[in-house]
Amino acid sequence: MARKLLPDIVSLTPSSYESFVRCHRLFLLGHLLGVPASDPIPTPDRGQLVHELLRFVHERGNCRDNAHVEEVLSAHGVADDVHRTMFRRHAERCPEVVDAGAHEKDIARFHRFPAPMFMANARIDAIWVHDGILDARDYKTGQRWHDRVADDPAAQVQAFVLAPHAQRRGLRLRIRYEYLAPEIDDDPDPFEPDDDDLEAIAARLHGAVHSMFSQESWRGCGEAQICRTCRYRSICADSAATGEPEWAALGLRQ
Amino acid sequence: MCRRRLALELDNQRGNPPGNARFEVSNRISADARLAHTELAPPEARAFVLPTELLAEQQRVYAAAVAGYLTLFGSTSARAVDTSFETPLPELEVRLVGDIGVALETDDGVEVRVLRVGDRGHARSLLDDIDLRFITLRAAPWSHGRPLRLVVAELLNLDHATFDIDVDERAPAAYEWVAERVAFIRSIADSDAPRAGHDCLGCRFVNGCRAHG
Repeated sequence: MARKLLPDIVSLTPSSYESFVRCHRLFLLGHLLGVPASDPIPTPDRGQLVHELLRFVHERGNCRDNAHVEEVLSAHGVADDVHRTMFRRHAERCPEVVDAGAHEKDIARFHRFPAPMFMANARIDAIWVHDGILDARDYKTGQRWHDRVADDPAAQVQAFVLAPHAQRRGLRLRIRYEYLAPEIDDDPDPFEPDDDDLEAIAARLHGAVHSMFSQESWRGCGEAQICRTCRYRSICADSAATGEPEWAALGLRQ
Repeated sequence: MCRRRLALELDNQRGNPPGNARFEVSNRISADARLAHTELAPPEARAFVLPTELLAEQQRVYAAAVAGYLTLFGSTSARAVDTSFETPLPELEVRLVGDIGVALETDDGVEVRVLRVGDRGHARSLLDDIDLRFITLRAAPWSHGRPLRLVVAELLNLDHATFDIDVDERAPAAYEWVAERVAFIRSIADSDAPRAGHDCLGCRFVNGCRAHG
């Protein structure tokens, strides 16, 4: 592939790295070429609203204050059983006493040497400092894919960007996913990477970026289990779940 | 925005350029749409030539976008207008730079078609106030007092909106807005303090940034 697809400094986010690990062509189409999705994907509306409301609740009070939570939910027109359950599940998981906290923090970490360069960036839903821990939380409103946070490629990018901040403060790093949807029974095991884990993660990310520069065909995974939920399954050259794109323009024009 | 990044962009420093492959299809659609309107007539479908140098998936998007364009505009007569890529504002010592869309003359006046291929992002509208002001000022030199119709269209799902703009009436307010923003940008760019975070993505000036060691 002669033309230049990669910038001098590759951007890596939790979702883009997860895409690359899942399927190289998904990464190419979604993150390098910005190709519009050909197949429906769930809208992020509910998840984004829940994220915003959690931040609102924490910044203006306590998530264990039921009256406060109810007031916030009512003000936003979501005082229903689903949201009440999600917030109750969150309150059961949220640390009670913290030294500091922040919401929706964008953390960046630049890798310069050895080449190739890359910029890793992650938006962390919530960061709490307590009991000698830098406790990073990821609020999940969808389905669960991993039994251990450590197994999620996205978490590896999160660990990579957060590690220097934890080290600088003399804190242990912990990454925990909070599954808030009522139909999910348990959260996956939290991830507390040690120095060896962090070194391996850095090598893994560097290796992934290095392999991007040697890609020639960007072959898709061609696995039915993965393709059937892919947003490009109807147009991807390597799709194992073919179909027709759902663009309105194709339905009207002969 | 990170003040350091803003200061260096304002100074037109080159740095490490980000990739621009994500604009290949949309740029090609706009370019071919201009070619399709060489006469004051409905668009010539043969001007839209499948870009075989792009990936198969990009070609499918291109074909669908062409179908969308012809669905929305296929029966309207229009002729492409040759416009500059920039509009200098000498009193402010700035240039407004960028493609505003496909500029056309029609039987009713002048028209700008802003062509989107795919959504702009979750909950983002087809066009926002900043776009409107920018287009108004960029269109002022060649609209010559004629009424301007602005049509923004997302070509895959056929979402579209139309704005009829009196450029002479709106341009002064748009100019004042730009002047305020330029003054503000210059004032904050003076500090050039780096701020690591979201703005690091796509930043051309990471190398040498003290926020990254």
